[in-house]
Amino acid sequence: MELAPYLQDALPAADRARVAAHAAGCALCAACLADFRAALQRLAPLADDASAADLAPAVLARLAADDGRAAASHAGPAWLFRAAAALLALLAAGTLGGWWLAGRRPDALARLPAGHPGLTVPPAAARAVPLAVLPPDDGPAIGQALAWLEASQEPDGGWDAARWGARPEFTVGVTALALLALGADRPAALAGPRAGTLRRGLDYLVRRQAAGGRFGPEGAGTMYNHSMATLALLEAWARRPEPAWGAAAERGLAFIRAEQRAAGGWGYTRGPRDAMNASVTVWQLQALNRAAALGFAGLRPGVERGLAWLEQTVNPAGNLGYRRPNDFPFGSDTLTAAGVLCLARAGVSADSARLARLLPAARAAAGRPAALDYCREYFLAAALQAADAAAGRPPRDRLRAAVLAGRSRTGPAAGSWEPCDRWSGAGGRVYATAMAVLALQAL
Amino acid sequence: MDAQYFSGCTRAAPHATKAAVDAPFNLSAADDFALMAAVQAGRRDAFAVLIGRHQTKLVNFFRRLGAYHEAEDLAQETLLRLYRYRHRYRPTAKFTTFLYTLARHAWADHLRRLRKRELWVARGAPEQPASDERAQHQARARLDAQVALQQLPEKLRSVVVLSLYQGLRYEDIAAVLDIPVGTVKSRMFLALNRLRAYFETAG
Repeated sequence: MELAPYLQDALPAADRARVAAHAAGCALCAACLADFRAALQRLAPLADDASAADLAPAVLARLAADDGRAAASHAGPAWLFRAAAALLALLAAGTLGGWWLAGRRPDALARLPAGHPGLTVPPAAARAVPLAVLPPDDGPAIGQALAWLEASQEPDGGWDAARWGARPEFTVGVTALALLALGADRPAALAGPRAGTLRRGLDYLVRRQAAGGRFGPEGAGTMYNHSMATLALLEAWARRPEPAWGAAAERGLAFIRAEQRAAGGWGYTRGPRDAMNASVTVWQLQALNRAAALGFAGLRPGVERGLAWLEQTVNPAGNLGYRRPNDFPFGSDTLTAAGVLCLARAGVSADSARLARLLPAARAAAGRPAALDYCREYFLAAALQAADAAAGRPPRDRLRAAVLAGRSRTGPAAGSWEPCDRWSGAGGRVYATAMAVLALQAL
Repeated sequence: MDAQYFSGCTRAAPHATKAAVDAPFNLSAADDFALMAAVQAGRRDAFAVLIGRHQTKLVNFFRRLGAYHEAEDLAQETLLRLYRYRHRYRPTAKFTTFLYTLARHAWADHLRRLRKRELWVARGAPEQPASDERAQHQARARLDAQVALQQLPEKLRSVVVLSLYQGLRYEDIAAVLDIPVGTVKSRMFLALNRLRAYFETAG
């Protein structure tokens, strides 16, 4: 019985010596040891861990869904009455059968394996907040989120990504998102009680600009950090013309233009010069579009080249691809919506053929439940608000429900948003909260 | 999941104080004890870091036990239980012992649900098609090892997987499986004996 721990080096030294001495004089035990050793070697190929998907988004979304159900079950009689009335109305309209079922047996449904025959299980996060129990307005939720953001600002003015579960190299990017959520684009905010918070944050971004105009460290996240910081400074400068903010934004724009590839798109700074992707490109176009709208000269040709590159990734169904048509490593909803937003903000008319290619897919995505993804909901809300005004409002209740599903209702971080979507590993709680607020503000 | 699984472990860890939660710290540099203290006080960003740290091992644990398509579902279930039962963890125990105790119960529940035990081999090979000769050889070797493991009775296989692949010491395996250390040794011996016989016949 001691042979196995002997082979696995799991015996104290004295016992190990005793077994070794015995095996040296016992042919049976020596043969047994040799056979066991061979068996262990045959098992060795399984020792390497095969890669596994990131489970955190799904697990945290399920916890957030639990919170949502708990909150719903604790709602008072007025809520119940309102919920019942709304539910009856929606059931009568034949639109809520799936939500209702999901609300009744969430755990049993959630345990079914993906692809289980006979049932289509909406993702847990999408089921988290049934439409019927949505709060009447987002004011309190947004207010609490902004209070949390203010309270978590570091003394140097930034938001420390690593402190809130994210990668430290994204500190500049999440700082910019926090500033945008806090109202860097609103004149009232820059003169109101949050002015100090905003000013410290904007000055922090200016200090994080390198000599070449780049915001933040050089690395995989460079272009995200950079475009978000440029956008935040542009918005603030447009409302309050601080020379330092304007100059930093202008240097930021020059860096974006210098990074544009010959084919029109953008990619990672460390990658090959011909490697472009739509995710990086749409963020650069957001900054350029905003600057062009504010009167910065000479940007339109670059915007047009960028849009042209984006549009050549659109497939016949109107979905925008990551690097080329039908290239959807992270789905197509977010990028399609971001493409709509870029076109609309560049002044492309909603009834033009260019937008008509993308709009049906974006509208369909906005009405479809999906796993919780703050970026997706933000871009859908912003895109449809920008491009679809004439065709009616985006499906506000579904988008609100999706975003509110991630809200933290208890614990020390109550009021913020759970870092539980696919991008939260990079951006953490600050990203989740800021992006959720931006999405709600866009609705 | 019953309290009996964690007899005597029904109170929150004493160090899970408000200070531990509110104090800013670099989550990615924190050890499992510190992260669990933060999780016990509701910090889900700390939980996300903990998940990232252990998810691959956990998914592979279930794959080696015989799950394949269900491995990620089982890992998710284990992590949900980890959060729900976080207050029963005490820092006097190794975190992995607590985690694999939860995983073992998730696996046992899974087997009960299956009613009739399915052999992994009957559900298709998990390996992707190999592209070259060396990769094909490695894929075959992994398949041989996986099939050999599945020949073992559940009780023996659990010991082998926890010891060989999850890296738990015999004392920790005893705690996870709630059996004496001597029984861990005897099961490992029996397992190796059976594996030896299997490999002899399998060639």
